[in-house]
Amino acid sequence: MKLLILFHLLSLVFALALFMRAFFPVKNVSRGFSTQKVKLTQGESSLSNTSHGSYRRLVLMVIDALRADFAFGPLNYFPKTFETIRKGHGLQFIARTNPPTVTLPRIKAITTGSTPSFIDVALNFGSPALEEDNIITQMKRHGRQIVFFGDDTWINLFPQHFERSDGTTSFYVSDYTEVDRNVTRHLKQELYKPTWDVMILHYLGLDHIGHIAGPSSPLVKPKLAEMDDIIRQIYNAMEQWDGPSLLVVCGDHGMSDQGGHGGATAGEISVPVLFLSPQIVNRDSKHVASISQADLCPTLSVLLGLPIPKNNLGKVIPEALIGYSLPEKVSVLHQNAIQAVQILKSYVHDLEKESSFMLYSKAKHQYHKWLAARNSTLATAWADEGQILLSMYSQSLALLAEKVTSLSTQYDTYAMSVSIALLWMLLVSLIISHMKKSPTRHSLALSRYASHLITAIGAAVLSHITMCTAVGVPSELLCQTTQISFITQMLVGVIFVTCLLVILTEVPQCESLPRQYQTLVEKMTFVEAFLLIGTLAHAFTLVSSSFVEEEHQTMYFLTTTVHLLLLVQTVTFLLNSYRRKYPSSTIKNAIDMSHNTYERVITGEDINNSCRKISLESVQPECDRNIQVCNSTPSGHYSGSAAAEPRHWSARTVDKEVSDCLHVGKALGKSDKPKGGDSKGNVYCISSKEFLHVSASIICVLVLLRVLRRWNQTGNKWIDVPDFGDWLILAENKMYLSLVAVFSMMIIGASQGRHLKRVQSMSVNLALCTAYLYRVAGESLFFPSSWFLSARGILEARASFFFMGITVVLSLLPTNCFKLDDVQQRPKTLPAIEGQTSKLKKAAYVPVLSRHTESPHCQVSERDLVGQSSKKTTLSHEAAQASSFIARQKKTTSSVSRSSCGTSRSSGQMQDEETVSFSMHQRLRGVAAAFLCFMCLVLRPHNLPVVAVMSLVEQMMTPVVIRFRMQPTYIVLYCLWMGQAFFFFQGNSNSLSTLDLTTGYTGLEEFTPAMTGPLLALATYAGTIFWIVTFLRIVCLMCDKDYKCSEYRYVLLPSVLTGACSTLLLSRALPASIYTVLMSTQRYHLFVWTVFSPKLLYEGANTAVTCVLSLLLLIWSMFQT
Amino acid sequence: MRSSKRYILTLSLASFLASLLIGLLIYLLIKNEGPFSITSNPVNGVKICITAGCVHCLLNFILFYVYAPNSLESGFRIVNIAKCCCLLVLACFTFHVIAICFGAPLIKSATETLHFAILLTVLVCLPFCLFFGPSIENWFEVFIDKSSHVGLETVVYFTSLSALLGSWLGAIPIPLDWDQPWQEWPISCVVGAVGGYSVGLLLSAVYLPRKYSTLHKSKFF
Repeated sequence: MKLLILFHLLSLVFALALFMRAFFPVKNVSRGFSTQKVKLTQGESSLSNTSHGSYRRLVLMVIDALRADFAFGPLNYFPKTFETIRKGHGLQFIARTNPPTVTLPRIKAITTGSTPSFIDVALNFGSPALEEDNIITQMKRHGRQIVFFGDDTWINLFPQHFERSDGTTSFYVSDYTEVDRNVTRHLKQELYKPTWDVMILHYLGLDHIGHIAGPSSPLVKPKLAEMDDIIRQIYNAMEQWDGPSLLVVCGDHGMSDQGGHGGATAGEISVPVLFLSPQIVNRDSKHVASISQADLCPTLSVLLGLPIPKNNLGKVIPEALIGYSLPEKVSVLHQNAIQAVQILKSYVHDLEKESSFMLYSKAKHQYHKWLAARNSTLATAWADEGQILLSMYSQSLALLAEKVTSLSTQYDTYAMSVSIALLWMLLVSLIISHMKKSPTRHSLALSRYASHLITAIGAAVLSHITMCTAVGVPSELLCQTTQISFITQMLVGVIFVTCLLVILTEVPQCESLPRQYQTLVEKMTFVEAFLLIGTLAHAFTLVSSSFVEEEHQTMYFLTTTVHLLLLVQTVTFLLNSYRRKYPSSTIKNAIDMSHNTYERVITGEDINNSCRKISLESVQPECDRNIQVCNSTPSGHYSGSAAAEPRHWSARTVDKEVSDCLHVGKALGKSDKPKGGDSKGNVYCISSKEFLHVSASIICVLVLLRVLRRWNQTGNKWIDVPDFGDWLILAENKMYLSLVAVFSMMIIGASQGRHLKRVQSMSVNLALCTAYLYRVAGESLFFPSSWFLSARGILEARASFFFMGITVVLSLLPTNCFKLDDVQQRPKTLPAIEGQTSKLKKAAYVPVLSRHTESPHCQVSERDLVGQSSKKTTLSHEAAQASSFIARQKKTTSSVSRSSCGTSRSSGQMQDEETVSFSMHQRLRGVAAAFLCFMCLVLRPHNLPVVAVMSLVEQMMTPVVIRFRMQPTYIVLYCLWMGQAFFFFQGNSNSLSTLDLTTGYTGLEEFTPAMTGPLLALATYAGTIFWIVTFLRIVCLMCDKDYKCSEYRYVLLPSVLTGACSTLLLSRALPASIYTVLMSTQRYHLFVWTVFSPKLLYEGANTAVTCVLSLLLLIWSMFQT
Repeated sequence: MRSSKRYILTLSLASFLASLLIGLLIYLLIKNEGPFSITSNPVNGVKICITAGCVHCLLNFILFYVYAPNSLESGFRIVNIAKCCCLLVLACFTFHVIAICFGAPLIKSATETLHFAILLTVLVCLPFCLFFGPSIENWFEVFIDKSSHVGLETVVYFTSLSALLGSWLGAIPIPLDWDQPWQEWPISCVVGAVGGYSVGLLLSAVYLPRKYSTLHKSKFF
């Protein structure tokens, strides 16, 4: 069983990885470098040295995330620059960039003139050297001296290209002054003595401001004024230099209205491009032409006299060719078109049918005629015809670029369909192995299925060979003779055969499928049914692009509904118990009485008295009466159990952990319920006290979820709606932000610390404090003095990690270490003891109450209380005695209801078990607390309340979920939903622009792939991980407190864990298999790169995280057996 | 109490007619361009729907009174009426809060949300209060046990649940990027609720005679 799940897990990851590899096309680029310089036909150039291009020097200034309206908007951020342009010494353009609007692909677009593939986004973090033909390499090959200052992506892309360089890391988003100062400090020297030909500057500060505070932040204006100053400085220097020189200012990508980038909103894809030079004389200084970002590459190539890079798809901007005569311009475009047609040739066999090529050949034909007719026609008519030619060439180039872009995204369709087939087979075999409850005796009648198997394998191999040898289906992944391809093929084969085997052997045993379905439905409550239906429906909504963009709405809708349904269920229970009360008024009175007692006890008014009240004399007759009622009336079980519950509680008044006690009481009460006797087995009752408790927590959770909805608006449609997060990160609200942060940290510390050991709680608090200081060092939170803080808070972050580590280690230590801790806490006053979570005592009480093995535990409890007041001792006596009565009653009722609950076991073993299992959920609590601290550290400060609310919601919902005794499978689904919802509450979405990269650099000096990746994954999927830990805790609690725990734990806990594993895998395999089909059918859809592909990446990441988690679960369950 | 055959038939027929009429009403509300268009003036549209729901309730009540006067719950007592009013106000408030929990704007379209809540109250709670009074026992009989009786109970059961379900489903098209005017809150939910109500009527019109004939082993035609 476990091996099967492990196999499913690994093959799920493999199949999805195969699909992604096949789907994200690696562009086929022609290698080598073009050597054909752009020649000008007639040597009539007004500029002297055309062979060197029209400019001797170039300064390329890239301002990261400079969006078009920063330059051309009404706010006039660049006064000095535009003064120059108004004087006619400049040209202005708006360039359209292609998504993904991330730095690395954009730099590639500027330098190669081609459209980079989507997968470059993923490589954005690792940036390997660029091997394609590009303008920088061309410069280098033609002996130009290049210097570079700025984002070190360039240095990684072009190693050994630069004479001098100084790279800055782009990932420290919190710093926006130092990065730019590191660039500007070189300028003075370089401008004074220009020993270079090309200087590239890449300023990151603006992008960082965008990530921190967005485009409307007050930080933007001073930053752009700084940029304006630098432009003026360079321009002034250019006037002094000998030889013509050009300054190009451009943005690599824009900025969305929230400050991120990566998507395709108007703000992100439009960037300004400014050409400034003292040599430029432009009469039409108001005109802003619209270009494509790739056009920069050929234009600069021509202007510098370099060959146009081979893979360039951009077209030379005729307006930028200042000083070129008309024939020269036409000739330049002609050669540009020749170069581009070469690319088209490598993609298309019959060129003649292409509209772009037809236009091109027409233009070429006319071009030669036009050249010949030069002296024979009128000058004006001739010039007009030249203009027409220019536009014809431009048009054909645009068409050609479009065609090539659509062609260059070549999908490996064969590998895609193979991986889809694998995914669906996995899904089916997962469902089958999930449905089957008992592990089948693997008689594995291979001989019975051998013929099927051999036929299927034979067919598969045959079709594989056919597909691979077929023309036109070249599959790089599956049909090559390289080692990697061979291994992939082998793996595919192994997965195929195993899945087939599973399906073939299991399906005949599932002939009772309708019956299984019936039992499944019968066992379900409507909340569980909704969880199942919702999960299915959610997987199917991914078919729609808007539901992908607005997936958070789906999740919010589903979680709200499920909580509402829980509330409805609670109300139904209350009404049920209200109805059941009528048969006997004595029971009603009994309930009321014990309620009163209970209330008084838990408020701690008078413990002694209240315990006296339920002394044995008063309890016993009632018990007996109850049992009689139980026996006499058919519905008496309910009333009996309902009446019994409060007394359980009151018997254990000493322990103040109310919620935990409630579960015991519930579990006890509920297990009295006859299993199959009543047709409405699911209907059971709830006392009014508990009803208040449960419904209040659910309503609280509903309200909190509603507040969180407005914390971070994500998605696409309502992302502009102002939210709390936006308001808090405004610079003027730093004080409020700090207050909110402190408050949420206090909530986290208090709510988690309540259930933790003192040492753990201390280290949790220290971790929280250091996390706060880390943010103070990053200047996003307020603190009175900051002289003791390290730069960028690296030290603080590491200290926080250290304390988290301590918390985790403490929680994983053997239990014995804590006994000392408890003994130390013992000598205290009575209320103090109640306040403490006296675990040992509880450990002693639980078995007393739930089993019939009183004596050893009573001794334990008495021993514990030695040294306390005599009151306390009598109290424990009373409790023990009362519980013995309850146990007796329980025995009777259980024999009546024929429930096969735990019989006697050896008490020593029992106590041992208790200790082990008791500490398990306690340990998980420690791990969860440490993880909350981790979230506090890595998430943005304005998300701290989200973490706090998560902690609160978890604390409120755990008892409720246990109370409703949902089946573990559905608890997994519930936790996954909540995890998903919190993923979106954090501000994530299915667009790459909301990914918070800074989280990956917490406590790190520089980019280290081994740390950054896991950190990023942990932080992004923090919600999911936390809720899976919560699920484990719930399961442990259930196993711990359950009446039947003796069997439940040792037989069921591992199987619950493996069941949870397969549920987790199913929950990933279902959307994956649906989504991959969608992706393959919709691969030419308009939104494929902006909506579907990022979602696929997120799905992949989510699957990876979930698979790692379920692997851990699997390992744990192996240890349990 | 055994309901008469004629009563069941009339009820079924009335439900069927009402379902058609309400369907027509929704169609008109969506399609027309005038002052009663639900897209241009949601509050007006909701008001019309509320009126329609009330009128239908009253008509049903008259029918009920004509055919089975003695099954009316404990007559008209002031206490009961007061209780019913309280219950309705409470229900209205609850629906409002639930709508906000589901993501309705807190302040911006509070009027629309309130009207939506009133509509749901009229469609879900008013029929029950009118026919069965503020009694939990009756509530149980109608919604949990739903066993032996056929008659208005069935109609109330179907319409209430399907109106709730309809308004829940009505929220689904809101996030789609179709940029239609009816995707604004709460138009699609209002349409969903009223549509659900009419579907519930249709269902009960079909279900009533069938259930009756199986219960009493008698054929209608």
